[in-house]
Amino acid sequence: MSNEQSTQEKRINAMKYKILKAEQENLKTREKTTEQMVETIRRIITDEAKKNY
Amino acid sequence: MLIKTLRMENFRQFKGTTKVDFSCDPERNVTIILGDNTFGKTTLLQAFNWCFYGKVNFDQHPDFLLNYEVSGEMRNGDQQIVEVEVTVVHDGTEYVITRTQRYNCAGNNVRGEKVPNIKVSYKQPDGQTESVKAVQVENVINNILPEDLSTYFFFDTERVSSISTRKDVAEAVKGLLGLSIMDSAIRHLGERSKSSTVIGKLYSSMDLDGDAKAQEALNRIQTAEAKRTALAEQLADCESQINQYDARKEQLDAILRDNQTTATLQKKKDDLEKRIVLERRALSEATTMYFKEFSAGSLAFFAQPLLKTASAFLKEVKVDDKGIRDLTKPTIIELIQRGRCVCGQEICEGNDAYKHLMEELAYVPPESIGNTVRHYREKLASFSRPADRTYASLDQRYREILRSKNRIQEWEDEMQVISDQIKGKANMRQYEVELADIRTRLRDLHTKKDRINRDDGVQKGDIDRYKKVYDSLTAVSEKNRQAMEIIAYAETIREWLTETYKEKELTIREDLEAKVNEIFEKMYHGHRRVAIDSKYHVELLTTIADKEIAAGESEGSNRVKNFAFIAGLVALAKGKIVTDKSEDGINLSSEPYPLVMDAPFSNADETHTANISKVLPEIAEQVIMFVMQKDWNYAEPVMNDRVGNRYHLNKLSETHTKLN
Repeated sequence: MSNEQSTQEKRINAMKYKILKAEQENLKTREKTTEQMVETIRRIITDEAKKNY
Repeated sequence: MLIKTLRMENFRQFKGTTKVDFSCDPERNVTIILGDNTFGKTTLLQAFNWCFYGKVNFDQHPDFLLNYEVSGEMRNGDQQIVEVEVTVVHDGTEYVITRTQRYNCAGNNVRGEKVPNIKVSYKQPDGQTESVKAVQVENVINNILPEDLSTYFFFDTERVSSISTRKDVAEAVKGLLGLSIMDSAIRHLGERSKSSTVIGKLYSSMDLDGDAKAQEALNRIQTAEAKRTALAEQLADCESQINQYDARKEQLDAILRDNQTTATLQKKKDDLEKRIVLERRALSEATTMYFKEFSAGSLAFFAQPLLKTASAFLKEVKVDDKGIRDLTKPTIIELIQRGRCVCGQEICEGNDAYKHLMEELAYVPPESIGNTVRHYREKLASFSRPADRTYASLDQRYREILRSKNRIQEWEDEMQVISDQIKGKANMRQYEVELADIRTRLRDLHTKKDRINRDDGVQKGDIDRYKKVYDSLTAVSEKNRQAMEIIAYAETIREWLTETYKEKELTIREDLEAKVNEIFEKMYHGHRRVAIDSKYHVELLTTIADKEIAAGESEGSNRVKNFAFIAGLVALAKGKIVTDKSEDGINLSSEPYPLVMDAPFSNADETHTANISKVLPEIAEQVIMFVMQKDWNYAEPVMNDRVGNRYHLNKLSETHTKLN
């Protein structure tokens, strides 16, 4: 696997983990509205996409 | 989650302070509270619901929670409180949830405040107690035990006849077993057509039009640059031609300047040539006219002497000219014979007309030639008249011919002189023609050069303009590229979630059915099987002649089925639920929950009661049961070893129960 592929995979795994954790948390607390959750997920993906692993 | 304590103040029949400590020992994880009907078992369960969610489910006066005896003792202006406090351990942290409602007496009427007060505090690792901010209280409680799942764990056996056929059972199962997490993530990620979702918003944020415009601007720049290149080539060619013609023009100017006399003579010679051509044409016309006039007038001209002699002779002759001109004798005879004149007058012998005609015969030939002579003289005059002009005209023509011939001769002589003078010298005329042609070409070339320069200016302006457009859109394009990258990630994750959800949903249903059947077999003393459909509705099946059919459900079998279903759910939820088995698998497990059950054994026979009592403590983290003594008698032998705490409800009156 090339470094780029490996980095991509790590990014995607991090995104999956953080998105599901955010959903898990919000399903319990119902703290965030749908709109806020959409923004949370968008931010997770955007932030993780910028990271270098 | 484990429930440590319950404290009640004046909550319904629990007058004063009532405190319960629940067993949290993993080995003895059962707390039993014994009490018969109307002793307050359901009130205990409702105390949990009220404390957590502010909701109760009582048949009578559900809005009035204050103990009636306390209420009855209140006087105007008195105030009492109803309070329930639950201490739980969640995720390693101890939380204290306290809900309080004040009751005031006014006008001999006791009323509770509409909005009870809710407080949540928790112990920090250093032992200090910290209060949760009011706005976060509901979130924290839902984090500890989501309200929509609570009825599965604060379980009112007698009020919920069949939990496994409830409409919300699928959502509860998905919530407990981690599917809701993925489901919610899938919905939030969404798709392109849904503008309020992650993917929809990302697509909306892209300026797709900008990309097209940038490409169009780039195309225009490239086209304009190609045009400029072509124009530059045309301009170079044009300037090259101008230079060549300018050089030739200078040469011609010099030649003509140096040979101006020759040119003048050349020009004069050319002029003489033109005049000679014109004069020759005039000579030819004059000669033609001379012969034409001679042909027409020569007979009369040369006959003049003879005609003059004849005319002189006839002048001397006396003739009678009474007759009618050109009237002849045969004409008169014919009129007489016709008997009618041309005027219509009748002619008959002897009448006037006849007489006149007979008289007229005397004036016509052969009787008379007077008329004929007269006519001849007239014709002679007419014939001789043009002859008077013939000579003058021919003389004039002849003079013209001579003049033309003289001129031609004169000019030809002059031309000969000029030819002799310029003989051997270049023809300046051809240089002048070439110079004029070059001037025309130079004028056209300069016009073309101006046009090329103008076109080039237009193209340059276009390039500058579209470069600005392109530069401004390049930033948009970069933004789009980044958005596309994020979209690709979002879509990858959504696809993965969708696939994983499908797989897990199927697996979980199969696992749940297997687990529920496993538990059901332990609880039910019969030969039935549990089937779970796609909506997580549970049905009991029995086998008759190798064929499975829906079995009729008694209260007892239904009760066992419900417990098996809940126990199956709890058992699965206790296990680790991961997205996949790889090291990257994400844990979707929920917190283990206690089972708080009101009258779990009602309508169950002794065997079922014993079986349920054996299974539940093995599966759940903590079991809290409010049980009638008669049911407990069947449960106790199998459950006793798991009981950590035990209480008795002591009903002092209809409005006062004490817990011992």
